[in-house]
Amino acid sequence: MPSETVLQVHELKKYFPIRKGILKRTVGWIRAVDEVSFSVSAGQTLGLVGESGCGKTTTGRCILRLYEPTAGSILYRLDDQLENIVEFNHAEMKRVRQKLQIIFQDPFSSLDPRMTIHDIIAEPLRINRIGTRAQQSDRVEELMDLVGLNASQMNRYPHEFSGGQRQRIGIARALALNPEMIVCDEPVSALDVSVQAQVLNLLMDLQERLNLAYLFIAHDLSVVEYISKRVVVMYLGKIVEIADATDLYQSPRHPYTEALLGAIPIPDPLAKRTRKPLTGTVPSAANPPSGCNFRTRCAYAQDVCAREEPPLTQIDGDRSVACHFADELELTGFSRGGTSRLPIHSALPNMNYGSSMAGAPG
Amino acid sequence: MSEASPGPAKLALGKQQGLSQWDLMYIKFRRHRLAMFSGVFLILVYIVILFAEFFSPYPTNEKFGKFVHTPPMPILFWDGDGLSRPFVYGYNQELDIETFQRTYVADTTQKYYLKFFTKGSEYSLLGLVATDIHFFGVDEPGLIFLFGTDRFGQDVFSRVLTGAQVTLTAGMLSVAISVALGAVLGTLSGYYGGVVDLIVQRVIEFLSSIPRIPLWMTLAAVMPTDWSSVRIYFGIITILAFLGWMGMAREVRGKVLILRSMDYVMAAKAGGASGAYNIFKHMLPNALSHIIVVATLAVPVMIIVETSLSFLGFGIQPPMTSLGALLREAQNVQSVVNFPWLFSPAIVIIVTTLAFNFLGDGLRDAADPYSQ
Amino acid sequence: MTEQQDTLLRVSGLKTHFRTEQGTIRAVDGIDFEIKRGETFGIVGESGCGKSVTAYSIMQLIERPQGDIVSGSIEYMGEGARPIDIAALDPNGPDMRNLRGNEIGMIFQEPMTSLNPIYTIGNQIIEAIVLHQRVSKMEARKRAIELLDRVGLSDPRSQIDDYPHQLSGGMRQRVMIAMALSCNPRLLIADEPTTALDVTVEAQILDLMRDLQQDFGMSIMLITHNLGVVAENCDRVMVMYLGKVIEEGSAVDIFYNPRHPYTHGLLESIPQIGLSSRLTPIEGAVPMMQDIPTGCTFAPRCPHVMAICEDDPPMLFPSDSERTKCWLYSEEALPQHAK
Repeated sequence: MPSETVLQVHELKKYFPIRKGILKRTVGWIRAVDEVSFSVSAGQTLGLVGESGCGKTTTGRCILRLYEPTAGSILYRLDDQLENIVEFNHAEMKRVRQKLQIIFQDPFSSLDPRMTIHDIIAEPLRINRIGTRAQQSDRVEELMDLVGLNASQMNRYPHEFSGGQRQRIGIARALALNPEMIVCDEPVSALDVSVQAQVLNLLMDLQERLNLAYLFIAHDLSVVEYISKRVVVMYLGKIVEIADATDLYQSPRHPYTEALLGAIPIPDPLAKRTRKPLTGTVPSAANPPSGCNFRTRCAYAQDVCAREEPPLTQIDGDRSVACHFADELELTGFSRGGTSRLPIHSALPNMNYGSSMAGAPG
Repeated sequence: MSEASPGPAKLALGKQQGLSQWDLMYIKFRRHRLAMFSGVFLILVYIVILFAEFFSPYPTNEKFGKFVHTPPMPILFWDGDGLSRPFVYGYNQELDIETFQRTYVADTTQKYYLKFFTKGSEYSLLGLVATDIHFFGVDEPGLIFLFGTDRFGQDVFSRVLTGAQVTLTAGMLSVAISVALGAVLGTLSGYYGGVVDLIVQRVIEFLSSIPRIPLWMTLAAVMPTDWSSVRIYFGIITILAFLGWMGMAREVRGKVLILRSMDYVMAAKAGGASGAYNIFKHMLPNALSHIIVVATLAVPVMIIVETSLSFLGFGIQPPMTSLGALLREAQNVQSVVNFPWLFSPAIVIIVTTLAFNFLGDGLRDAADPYSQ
Repeated sequence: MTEQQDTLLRVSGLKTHFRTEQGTIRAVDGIDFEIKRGETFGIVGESGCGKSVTAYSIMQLIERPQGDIVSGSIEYMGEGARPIDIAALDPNGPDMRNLRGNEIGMIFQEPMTSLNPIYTIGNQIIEAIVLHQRVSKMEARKRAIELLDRVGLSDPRSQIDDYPHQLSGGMRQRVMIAMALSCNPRLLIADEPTTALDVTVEAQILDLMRDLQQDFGMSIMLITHNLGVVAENCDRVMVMYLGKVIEEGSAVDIFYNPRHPYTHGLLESIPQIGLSSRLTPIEGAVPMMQDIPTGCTFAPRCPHVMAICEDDPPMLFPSDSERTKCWLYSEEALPQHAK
């Protein structure tokens, strides 16, 4: 069953000017996001991966118009109709922002240290003048419950909470206006491993309960695979590949995707694999290479790659790749090599014995 | 935002539950002993100088012709016979035949007890209430010169109090004005960027590039000589503020630039907040502690500048006086050697300046309550 | 004894504490471990577990006077037969300076801040070489170029005169490695060397470190929070939690047969590609340093907590190849509490 589209981004561009001199003349442009197109379906997660500087965060912020896009259109579903929000004024954007929210990476800078948790979560309600004070407080209580926080702590300040709890507060704030979609900008990258899993599970539970759509931006490919149905891979401001998560990880069609997958460290000491490490570093977005962006580091690059830029083309059904040789290359997907079995899950030797003790009187 | 400071009970608990950032700052500030002490000291100083006429035994300009260059009179608790109420001795003048210098010798037969809340010359307290009560004094015909007298026989202690009143309030007021100016321009420049930022920054750079002392002197010199001393006082404050806001604006701009990229400002924007909302709800409150620190550290600078101007003769004019104007009297070598008490205004400047710096130091540590 | 000769570094009972206004923080609270010659020893744990402080203690780079090595010994078995106790050395004395760089090299997480921006990278490497070895500047420069070549800079002859800002993060980390290796140290401490880097660059750096280890034969102490990095690089692994070692063993044992509930929980918390089952995270969060529980520090988050866990801190219970600090492995505790 094809699901409805909540967000459709079409040829989105964001160029940042490079200014020099005392009069700040523009001497060049950083092409942070360069003609990016994708869409997000209701209630689903679209993962957006890439290395630092690939434009994934800028894309997320452009969608909320926290940055003004340089060109392109952003269609968002309002009252069952896709409307281009790029042209919207402040008042119209307010309407969009009730349906489209964001959560941030840094659980420390995303909460104003001078506000109580109650005030932080109620802020979107206050700005949009929704409900009386009492109603707002009820809503805050409800939201704190929803994200697994103890509502009795609403009068405390952010510094009294751990990173994971702060991230929950950020999620509660994003949910305050009942959005249909949330842009998650690296929401778990700053968290400890054990807490990261809690927040990921929370996001997935909320998605199920509230039918939320996510644009999940991250650099950790394992996290993206865990939470996303479809995945977009970006490199130097451009999309190199879009595909369903399983397809993308098992059989990448772009050399960059292959390289990314090959670089993931596998938590299995017996995994044996031969990786083809990428050479060189990401070129500057102010002065990208001619033709294909990736050709300077690509093991399969040919002459044509320097001359012509490969367009993002649809190949077999649901996936698109921007590579001249997408149909010819034999690329390796993610494999853990030697062992087919996942390493963990050997039970704790005494676990059963121990668990039975848990409730026993001391 | 709760700005209430926690009561002792809350502090004693040591549990940092529900404490706002202001609470944390206060707790941290209290640990900084020197700053705490300086703060209390400065409050006392400002109370004294605000009621300078009440605390000084004599009017600023009263001349005791017979008592020129009297050395400071110590307050004594011990006479020949034993412990006594605080008192001063009367002084007799003797002329040294060889050097033709007058010396003052304490006359142990005349003993004047120190009295509090005594009647003296009339004045109006804060320009409102006419009264003749002084904080302390001695009965006629005794005189009390705690810091000695100057070449006209004026009481240096009384003059230091009124001088400090002018200097210290001028420092405070000019900082207040430059903070207001700097905060507004710095916030606009930092938040909106672009052309506004460009203009403000270039203006700051231009103003900062003009050599300070000559500019102050020029500005002070163009003030009409027929202005009343009160107008000159406010003129000086304006000049100080006008040339002091740039540093302030830069600090605020820097802070706003950091705060502007904070995710909670982004989150408010994503929630539909306007620029004004962000400035007033998120940025100013968060920049405030920083502004207070910078302002505190700016006061001593202003005090020094006012002193320098007056010392050079371009500042406060008689009959008004300031600490700098008083120091002019101690300009020559003779006074340095013979009448060291004429330097008491300098001591007041040093002590208050240090106190402001200690206070600023403590506030700076407290402004970031999360660091160790 | 061959076992004795095998060991390069032996840490026993190390406690490094910090005094703060909130009280004493026991960042490292009585840890024991050994690093063997030529092996890669991993230290894993979440933020605040004390893994970096352990490294800084070995280098005697603890920020004083707030922090101090309170007790314990750090025996370094260098050239001579006699081990040197690092913990007893003066942090600023000549012995310690000689040890740092010459015997033990270190690379840091932030390749941006660990190089001085006002000197060329060549300057900084040459300085390190001249400081520890009696060679001329010319020779040092030749050696620096060799090293830069070895760590994979494409054009070391000209890049040696580059300033740090002219290099990317990955390149800077390579320069840091070259600098750390300039005096052939026997031990390389790598404190989260790839955390600030992108995944493809991380792979490059880790490959490089493995290669260099084969060439130089040094031991590596690899500190990281990334379990994948540990699995791919370490021979033996130590898991830390709140300043204590909770489990130690070979990498295979740790990943295939984790014994401590915390290690188990960590492994269950990481998403693994190709495995779509739901993650089972550890409950709760790492407690603040001020309110560390008495008894087992992991007890409040442990799914298998017993009464004894809340009262008494467990000891290390060794098995054949692993050591685990958990009451579940106590021969006495279980029967006793089963009554």
